[in-house]
Amino acid sequence: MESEFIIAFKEVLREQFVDKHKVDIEGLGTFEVKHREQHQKRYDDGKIVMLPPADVLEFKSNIRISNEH
Amino acid sequence: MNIDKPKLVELLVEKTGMQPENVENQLGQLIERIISAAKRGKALEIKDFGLFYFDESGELKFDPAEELSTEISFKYAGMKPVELKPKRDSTLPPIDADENKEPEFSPVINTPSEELPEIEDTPEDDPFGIDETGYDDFDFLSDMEKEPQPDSEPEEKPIEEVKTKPVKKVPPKRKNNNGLIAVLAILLLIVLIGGTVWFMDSFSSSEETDVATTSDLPVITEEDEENMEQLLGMEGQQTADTVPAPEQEQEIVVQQPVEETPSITPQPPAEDQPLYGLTGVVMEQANDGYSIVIHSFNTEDTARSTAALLSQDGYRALVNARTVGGSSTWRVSVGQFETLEQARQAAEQLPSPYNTQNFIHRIQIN
Repeated sequence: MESEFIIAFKEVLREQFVDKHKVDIEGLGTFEVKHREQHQKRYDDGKIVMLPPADVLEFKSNIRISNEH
Repeated sequence: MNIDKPKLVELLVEKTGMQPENVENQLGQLIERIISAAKRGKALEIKDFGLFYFDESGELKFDPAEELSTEISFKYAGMKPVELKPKRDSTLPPIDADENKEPEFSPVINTPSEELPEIEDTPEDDPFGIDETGYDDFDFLSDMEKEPQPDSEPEEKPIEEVKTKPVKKVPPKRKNNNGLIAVLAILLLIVLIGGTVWFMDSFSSSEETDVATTSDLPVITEEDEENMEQLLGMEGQQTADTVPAPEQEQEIVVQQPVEETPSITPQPPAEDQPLYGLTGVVMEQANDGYSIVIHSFNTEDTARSTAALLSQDGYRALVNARTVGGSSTWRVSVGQFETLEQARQAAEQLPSPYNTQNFIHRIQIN
């Protein structure tokens, strides 16, 4: 596997993610960027924190390892 | 937009200038490496991209690298979590409770007593706190004695309360009870004022209602009476005696319109006319029935003259004296009807305004 390919792979995916495109790679999984609104989070010590909004990358895959269980 | 594998290959070809077959081949190798590494319990990291691994449940996961996450969420770069409530749950609620009860005054009290040193609390007291702290920094105690009075008195001081107020206000000397006592005093004051106002109000309004009833609209009382009659109508004379409605003078001395009467001969012979009816002459035998009251007078003379006018128009006009509310009134009614229902039907046929402004009573001969 050529490093040139890996670099290109990373670049292409990054571009697609920034454009909020859903990338479905057969045999691996699906990458999707989701928007997360700002929300409050309460920690165990009573602190309440307002988390800023963010775009987060979610990865979903239907590949599982069954032989180990 | 959805990018699937062929599209991805296309994009990769564009990017690298490699042959599509080669790109597909390379992509296959990459996927295989990711999965096989993960299967061996290792995480495969693609530098500056992320980490592929199987989690405890055997599911393939991907953790994006920090660089990638930052790049994706570039719009919100630099936004940090903000701490909202610094541990106030245990210390501050009592003060909050006070503030909820007395939002107008409690800041005045809270600020001087002892919450001031706590920096966390000041934002809550802002609307008032700024003024006070600005104008006197250290003399909180003397402040305290002066503040509540000028602050609260002008707003809501009725004349009666002037004396009681200073008595209540002076005691606040000790440090911590000041706030509580002042709040209680203010509460008491408000209750007193409210009570006084309410009492005055209800007193005056009750007077008003008294006045109002004496000038009440006849329509209402008549309806009452009608209801009464409906309820008690079958009990004979008792109804007449117990009618309690405040009967009022109804100065509608309007000439009865003659619309209906022309068709009827004004004074038909007594023998020909039916026992009961709206028109004709009054039948003695029909005095056990009902009649439609359309006038009510204070004096017998006006009642009699009105009745005479009505009988000239062909109606069976009756005059009854009733004692209502301690004073006697003279009711002028028309018609003699066997049943309440007949009387009501006839009342609807009366010319305006009598078709609505009337009530039916049982005929009672004085």
